[in-house]
Amino acid sequence: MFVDAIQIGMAELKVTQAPEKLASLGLGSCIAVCAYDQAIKVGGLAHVMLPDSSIFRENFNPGKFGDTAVPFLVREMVKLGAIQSRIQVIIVGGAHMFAFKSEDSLLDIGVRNIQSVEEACVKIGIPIVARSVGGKFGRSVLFDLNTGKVYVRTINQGTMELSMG
Amino acid sequence: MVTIENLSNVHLDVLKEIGNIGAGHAATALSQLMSERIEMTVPNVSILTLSKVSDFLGGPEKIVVGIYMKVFGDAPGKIIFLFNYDDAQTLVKIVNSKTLPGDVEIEDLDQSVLQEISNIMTGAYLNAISRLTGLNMLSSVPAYACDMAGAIINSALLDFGMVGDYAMLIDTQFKMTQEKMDGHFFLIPDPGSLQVILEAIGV
Repeated sequence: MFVDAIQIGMAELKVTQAPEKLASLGLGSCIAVCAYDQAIKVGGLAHVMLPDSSIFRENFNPGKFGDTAVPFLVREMVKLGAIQSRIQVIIVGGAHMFAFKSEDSLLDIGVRNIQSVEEACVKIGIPIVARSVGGKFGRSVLFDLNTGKVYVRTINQGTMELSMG
Repeated sequence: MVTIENLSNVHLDVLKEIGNIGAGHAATALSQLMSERIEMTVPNVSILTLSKVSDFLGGPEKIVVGIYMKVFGDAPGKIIFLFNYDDAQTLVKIVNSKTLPGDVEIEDLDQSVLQEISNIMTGAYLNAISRLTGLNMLSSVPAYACDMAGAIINSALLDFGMVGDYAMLIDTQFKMTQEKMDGHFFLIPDPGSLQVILEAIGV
């Protein structure tokens, strides 16, 4: 069922409504931000790659960065009729695939991606209701806009289900 | 300034040739280590949009073994070895002269074997490129992961995200003639290193 869904590649973002399903396969340090308005079953997925857009001067794709993806998702959902105060978020990913012993954890891009998405959510008052983040393993994500459920598949732990609150 | 978006055919040929010379030395090193004949393909310079990176190499969820090294020096970048899980087992088996059943996990010691193989090949690869270009290139210690191909390869391409929407990989495939084993060796120059490498060659 993961592969039949609309695929959201690295740095891509899509907002749509039920009965569509959105998926991102093989997330490492990237984060899938799944935003949902339960009442009208409108939702979106951003495949965030990097934490911070401020280093970027020219036109860029808002789905790529944590700080821009969250407000952009919300804006696009509101265009489809969502109400900002009803929107909830589930985040998945932010792993650290290759650990070097000497490396400072502050430089870990997975951790920084998680922080940037969290901060962006706090800034506009959107709650993160569930998460599967960190660790040293890849994840695949399926977001079912019919139910608001997010399925997370890993190689060693099978498939786990996260629900909007 | 040379960027991925404006590489000419001459630039691509130069990058291919650099990969070719590096991989030739790496294949010789592996061949000596394994006492097996190693074949390698002519390198492919793949330029991919970030959103499509995961689609190549058999899909984002394929289980692979990846060995990752950073390249330091005049032209920083990354090197990744990718093997199918079965092929990584075959490689360990040949080096260790032991029989691994197909469903056994690669143990810690076997991971070290794969890391060391990658280390030796990378040394040969970078040395050859250094001699050709006069650029100083050194590699970090290798890090091991066995996971989804997408998760492994995407993690090495983040730097490209900071300058544009494309990633570039110099991909060489190597195969063993006797045993069924093949793997990929990727050199991934950091975006800023492209110009450095091309200038060192004089194009």
